[in-house]
Amino acid sequence: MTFEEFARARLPAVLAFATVLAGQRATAEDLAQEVLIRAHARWDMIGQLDRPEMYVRKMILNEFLSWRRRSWRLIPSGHNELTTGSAPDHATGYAEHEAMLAEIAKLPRRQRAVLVLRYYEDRSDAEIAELLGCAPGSVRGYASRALAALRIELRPQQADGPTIATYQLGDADAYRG
Amino acid sequence: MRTEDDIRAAFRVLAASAPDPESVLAGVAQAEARRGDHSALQAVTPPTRPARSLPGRRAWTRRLAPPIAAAVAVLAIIGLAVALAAGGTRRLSPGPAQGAGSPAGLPRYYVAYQVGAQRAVIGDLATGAMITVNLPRLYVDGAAVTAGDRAFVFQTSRQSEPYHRYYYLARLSAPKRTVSLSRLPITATGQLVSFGLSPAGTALAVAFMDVSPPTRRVPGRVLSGVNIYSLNGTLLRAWRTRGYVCDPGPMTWAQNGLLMIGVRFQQDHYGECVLNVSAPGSSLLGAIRLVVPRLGPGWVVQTASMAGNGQTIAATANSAAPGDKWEFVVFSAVTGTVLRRSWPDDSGFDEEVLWDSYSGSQQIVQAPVSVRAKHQVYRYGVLTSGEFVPFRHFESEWFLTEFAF
Repeated sequence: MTFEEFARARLPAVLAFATVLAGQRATAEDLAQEVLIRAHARWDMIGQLDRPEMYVRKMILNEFLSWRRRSWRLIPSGHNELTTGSAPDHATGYAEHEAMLAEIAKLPRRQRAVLVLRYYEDRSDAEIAELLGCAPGSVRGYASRALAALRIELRPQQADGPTIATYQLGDADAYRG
Repeated sequence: MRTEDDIRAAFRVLAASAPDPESVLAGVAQAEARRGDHSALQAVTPPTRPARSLPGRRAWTRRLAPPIAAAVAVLAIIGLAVALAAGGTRRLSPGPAQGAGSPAGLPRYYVAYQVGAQRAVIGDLATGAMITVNLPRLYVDGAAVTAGDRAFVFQTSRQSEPYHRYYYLARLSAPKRTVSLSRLPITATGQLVSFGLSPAGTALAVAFMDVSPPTRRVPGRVLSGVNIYSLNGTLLRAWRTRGYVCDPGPMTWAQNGLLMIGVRFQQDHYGECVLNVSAPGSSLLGAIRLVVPRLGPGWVVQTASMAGNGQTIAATANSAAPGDKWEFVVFSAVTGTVLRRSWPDDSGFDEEVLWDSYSGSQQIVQAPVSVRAKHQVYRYGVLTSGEFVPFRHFESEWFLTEFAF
C-alpha cells in the first residue's frame, strides 16, 4: 500500500481514533501530524506490513502516551470542540457526553487509552495488552479503575463538584483514592 | 444506561469532530517542504533506506507542498492567534522544571503543587515534614528548584491573561522551618513552553513561543526563543528563531552551563537538544545541538533529565520500532550515543524520570502502582543501577499533583 492509498482510504478512521484518544480536535491534529511525518519518512517499511493502518495507530498511541505529561494535563476539561455530531435539539445528551468526556480527560493516559481501545475500537484485552506493551491483567486493572473513577465522578450528587482548577493542594484527602 | 454505553456514545460524538484529512496532510506537506523544498523525503529518510518508492512519494509531496505550504503557513498563524485569543484551549504550559543534580547528592527538599491552585507545599524527604506556601491569587502552572534545593521558583498566571507569566521566589530556611516569598521582577509573555533555574539559583531560563497575528500590512509570524534573566529582572541572554521550535517539557540546567530542552523544528533540530548558555550569538538554532534525535531511527522520549554534570541524559524512551517498549535509556549528552539501556521486564519501563543526580548514577522516578484506587497512584523513589527504592517520607497519593526536585 502506498502512502497515498493509505491516506485516501484509511486516514479518516485514523484521525477519528486520534481525536477520541486526544479528546480534542486541535490536539488530535497535532498528534496525527506528528505521527504522519514520521510514518511518511519510513513508509518503505510500513507500507510492506500486512496492516499498515494498525502500525500507524500504534504510532498514534505511542505518541499519545509519550506526549509531555504536563501539556496533556493542562488541557482544560469541558473544552472539547464538538462542532459536529451533536444536534441542538439533543442538548441533554450533548451535556451528558461533554460531562463524560470531561471526566475521561482527567484519567491517567493509560487508563484513557484502554477505554478508547476497548469501547471505541472494540478490541479485546489481549489486543490492547499487545498495543500497550503490558499484560492483559494490567489492561483489566486499568479499565476497572477508570470505570470506577467515572462512576464516582459522574454520580448525580457530584455533578457540581470541583473542577480541576479548583482543587486545593493541601486538601490531600480530596485526592486520595 | 450503563457507564460503558455512555462512554461509547461519548466517543462516537467525539470521533465525529475529527480533523479534516486534507488539512492534516497539508500540515504534513508543509513540514516536509520546510525540511527541503526539493528533497523533502531525502531529508527525513536515512540514506540506508531503499529508494524504491521515492518517486511516488516525491510526487505526493510536490503535489501538495508548493500550492499549500504558503496558505497553510498563514492559516497556521491565524489558527494560533485565534487559539491565543480564545483563552487558551491550546495553551502550552511548561513541565515541572527540574533542579540539576548537585555533587552533594540527592535533594532533601522538593516542591509539590496542584496545577491551578494557589498553594504549594515544600516537603522534607528526610522527615516527611511539609511547609505550605500560600501564593497570591494566581494560577500556578509550574515550579522549579535549584540544585541546592533551598530555592524554588513558581510560575504563575492570571486566568484572564494566561500568556503573561509572573514569577515568585520561595526561599527555605531549613533551621527555622520558614519560607520567605517574594515576587521576581520578571514578566514573560507568549506561550511559555519550558523554564528552569540555574544551578546556583541566580538566573532563570524561559523558553517561549510568541505569535504575531497577521494584519493587512504585516504578515503574521511565529517567533521562538529562550531568554535568561537574572533574578533581579535583567535580561542576560536571548536567543531567537522564526517558527515553532521549543517543545513543552522539563528543562534541566546543568552545572556546566548546558540547558536541556525539547525542540521540534527540522530533522537536525528535532528531539532533545542542549543549549550552551555561554555560546556566542543570538540564533537559537545556531546555539542548540541535537542530542537525542526523534526522527528517522530516533527515540520517542517520554520524560528526561540531564545529569548535574551535563554529561548524560537519563530518559524513559521508546525506539518506536514495531513491538518496542518503553525502556530506561541513558544517552551521552556529548555524542548522543546510548550508554545504557535496560528493559526490566516484559511490561517495559513504566517509570518516569523526574530528576538525575550530578554523576547520572541515580534518578528520582515516578512509578505507577497497581492498587485499587479511584485514581492512578504513583510511588516516588530513587533508581540506582536498576534498583528502585521508594522514599520513606513522601506523600505520593495526591491526585494530579506535580512535583519538582
